[in-house]
Amino acid sequence: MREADWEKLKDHYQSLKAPEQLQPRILLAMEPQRSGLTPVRVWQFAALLILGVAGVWGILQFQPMESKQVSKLSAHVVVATGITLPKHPQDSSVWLGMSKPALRSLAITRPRLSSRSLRPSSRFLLGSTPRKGS
Amino acid sequence: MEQPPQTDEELVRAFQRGDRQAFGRLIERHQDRLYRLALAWLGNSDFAEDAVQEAFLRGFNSLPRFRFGATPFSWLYRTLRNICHEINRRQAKLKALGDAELDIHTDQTGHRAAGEQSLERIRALITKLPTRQQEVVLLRLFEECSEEETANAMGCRRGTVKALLHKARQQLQLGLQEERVS
Repeated sequence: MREADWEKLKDHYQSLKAPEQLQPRILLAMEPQRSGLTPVRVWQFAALLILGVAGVWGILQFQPMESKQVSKLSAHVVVATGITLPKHPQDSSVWLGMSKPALRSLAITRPRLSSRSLRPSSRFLLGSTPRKGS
Repeated sequence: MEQPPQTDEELVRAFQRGDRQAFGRLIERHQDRLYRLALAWLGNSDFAEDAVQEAFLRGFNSLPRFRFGATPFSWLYRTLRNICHEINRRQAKLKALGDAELDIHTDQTGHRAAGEQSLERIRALITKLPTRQQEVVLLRLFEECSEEETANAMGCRRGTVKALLHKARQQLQLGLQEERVS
């Protein structure tokens, strides 16, 4: 290959310049990323704010119920401690809604279910096979 | 009076300190080089402009966290190379789907400078080479980068650059001879 060929080719190649409008175009494209508040960011901020408010409202709604609130529920048994207990322990909404002291007192005042009475249903729920001889 | 930053590293450090004009100077310094490389890979000025713009935008977002493991130019070069490969892959897919209007070798503007005609000749020659050899030829022979710069940009050793260049020269000589015969 001739050296002159290379040189000519190289000179032509190096004569290529980026268009004049390229730099302003790049700087313009960088502009939205530069400013702090773009429309997208405003929307993102608004969406986050709404989600945050909804979250706080939701948490407040599902806070543990005080004993007074529990007592308002119908079909409850009033025990000596003054804490209202649900008739049906399966009523998880009531159980979960109770505060820790209420649950503690519940454990003290509510008569324990015998292990025998739990056996059939728990076996059924767990899907375990009955023991031999039982 | 404070000396204005000169090297790429100094410009990037200034940009990291919040001097946005430093990034503008970085664009000024490298846009021609990157544009030529993009043009050589893509063969279309519109795509080349888009690729260079995208490379600088990625740089704008990433250079604030740049740790100087490589030179800023090599970072920009690799980013541009990836973008160009992405564009080529996308265009090849579209072409395979039979969209004749999206020919990457078609210049939309219709304007062709003498430099661009030479570029087509260069493209015709280097597209016969494997990708790594193409890169070496463009960086070492046409952009006149040093061996070290080329090695940094390509992420390989200087010895590899030498070997690739040697092979590329051999193949290009053959290529040119074929061109003269035809």
